[in-house]
Amino acid sequence: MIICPNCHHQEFAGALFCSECATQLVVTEHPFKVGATDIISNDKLDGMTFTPKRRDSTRIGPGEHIFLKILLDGTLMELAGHKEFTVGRGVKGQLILPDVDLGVYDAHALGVSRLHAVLKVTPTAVSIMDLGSSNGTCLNSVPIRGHEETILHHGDIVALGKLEFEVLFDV
Amino acid sequence: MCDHYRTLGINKDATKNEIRDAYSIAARNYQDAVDADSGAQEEFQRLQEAYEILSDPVKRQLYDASQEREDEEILVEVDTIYSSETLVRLDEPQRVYAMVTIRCKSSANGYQRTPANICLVVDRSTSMKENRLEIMKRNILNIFDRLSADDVFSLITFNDRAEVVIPSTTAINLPSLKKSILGLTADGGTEIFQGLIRGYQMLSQSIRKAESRYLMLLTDGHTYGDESSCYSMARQAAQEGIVIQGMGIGHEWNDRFLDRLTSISGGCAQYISTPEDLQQILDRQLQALESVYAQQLKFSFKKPDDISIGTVFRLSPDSAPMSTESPVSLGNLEYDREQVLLFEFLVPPQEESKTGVELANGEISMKLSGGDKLVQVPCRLYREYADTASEAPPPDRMMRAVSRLTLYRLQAKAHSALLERNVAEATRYLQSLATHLLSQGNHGLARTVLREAESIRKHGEFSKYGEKNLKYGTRALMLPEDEGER
Repeated sequence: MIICPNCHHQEFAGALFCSECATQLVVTEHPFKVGATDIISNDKLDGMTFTPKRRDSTRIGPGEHIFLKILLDGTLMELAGHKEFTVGRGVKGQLILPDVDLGVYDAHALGVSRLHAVLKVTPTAVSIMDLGSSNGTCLNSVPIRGHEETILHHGDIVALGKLEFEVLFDV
Repeated sequence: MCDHYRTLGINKDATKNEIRDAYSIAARNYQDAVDADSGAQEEFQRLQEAYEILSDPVKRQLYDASQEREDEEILVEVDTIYSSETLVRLDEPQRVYAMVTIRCKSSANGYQRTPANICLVVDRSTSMKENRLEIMKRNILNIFDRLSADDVFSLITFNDRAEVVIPSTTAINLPSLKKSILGLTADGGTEIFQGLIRGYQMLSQSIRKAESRYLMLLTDGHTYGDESSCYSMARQAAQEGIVIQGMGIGHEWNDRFLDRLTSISGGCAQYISTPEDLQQILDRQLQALESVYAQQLKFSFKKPDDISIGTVFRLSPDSAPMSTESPVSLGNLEYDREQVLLFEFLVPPQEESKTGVELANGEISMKLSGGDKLVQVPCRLYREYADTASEAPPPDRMMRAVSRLTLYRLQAKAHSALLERNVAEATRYLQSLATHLLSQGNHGLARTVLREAESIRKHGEFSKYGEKNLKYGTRALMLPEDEGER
């Protein structure tokens, strides 16, 4: 048996990818990458590319979307459809689950509270506010004050306890 | 000269151990029969001779050289790659992937094209109204222009019953029949079998021997109660070398039915979401008929009972799930386009005594088009055991294919989770899928997936076109790189 390092699902020996989360399970010379093939032809959003360098502007450009990139495994999550997103660690039986649930990342051990912080999205900017978490929130390694909104930049690294993600704006 | 490799049931690249094992197993089997039956005696001698030659490196080399000269006429090449160079004996089950590529070594240049016989079977039930039927008509007229003079074309329409709009007609005479197409109207229900059986009869009664026969089914709905008759008809069609291709328009057609129906004869179901899709797919299929090297391509094999096959997926020329049972029908082999099959095996825990494991053993057979010549190429899927795990990573092609198969399955898992009303799980699968698509640079499809995740969260179901967009979108990922883009 092989245990997937990402989601702890059990796979048969010889499996190449986790069947539950598609994480690569074998070591290859170069990390395995495949080229782009855009399929849905009527999708106007095709061809977007990430701007790798950090920008100082906090403004979100027209048509840009906001993503959180979990640094542990590179998972990207898009913030879309709401103005506010609670971030935290979902626990079975908990009445209010966070919108962005980091429970799969061993979040408890990393010091993420159940409702750790809230991300607010306006058409032009995104901000974060710590909800009085036990282990606090850091922005680019500097602790932020609880219950106060702090504006985020493209490329900012946010740490909830010890769990880090990067904020990305993208067209 | 008889084929010593086939006598022993092994590939041309078999190792010394494989040859020895194959011989000892075959010899044991014959031993009992030898005394009773003189035919068996002869067979046993053939076996002896085969072993004598192949087990001696010098004799084997000479034999191979002589065989190559004989093989010159046969232009088919089969090669196989595996997920691992060798296997390690484990006391637990293990996965093994094999990818079989069948290609024609020659290009179509200079060969005479085999004429095509195409029967188009079109759904004209009420749901085809709006502008679907109009788009359809335009495309049929386009087909007329693309056919060669010696091609034959027929058109069947169906709702609750079938109607022959154009009986088998040589392409030269088609222009005068344009009127009959323009007059088509939509009404009634959808009974696919009615249309299929007429289409099949139309192709089956053709007396011309050398032609490639295609039944193209176009539907936008579900058929009820006649699925099993459709399947048995497809099996009959496959026997006669008729390939059934399916095209589903819109979001209401039954994808599982069409996948299964088409795979029986080695065809493929395609999803049509825009009028451009339809034209492209028809173009692609007509083009495929331009360079048919062989027909009734199939892989027949036997496998040990304790080896299980999880999936057989065709990656080229189309991507589609295939039958996991022998024989796997593959339709036509084109000159310039290879057929690629991906097998997923599960090998049981192994005993010490065995030197290797046979996954499947059989042959790939086909009829050369333009004649009746049958070509058979042995194909054995086999891995040897080694004491230590192989350090070489799986080949890139293998990684790519399995990676994309995994993504396709995440989509299927999301679908099943949703059927069980498990929204959280379905969302999780879609999130994983989107993440991997984004990291592989496929932003368009990733967006589609994220939109569906959102739709599930809000409404507990996929959006109207979502399910098919995801299924056929992830499936298309498996096509060879240069064809994935549409």
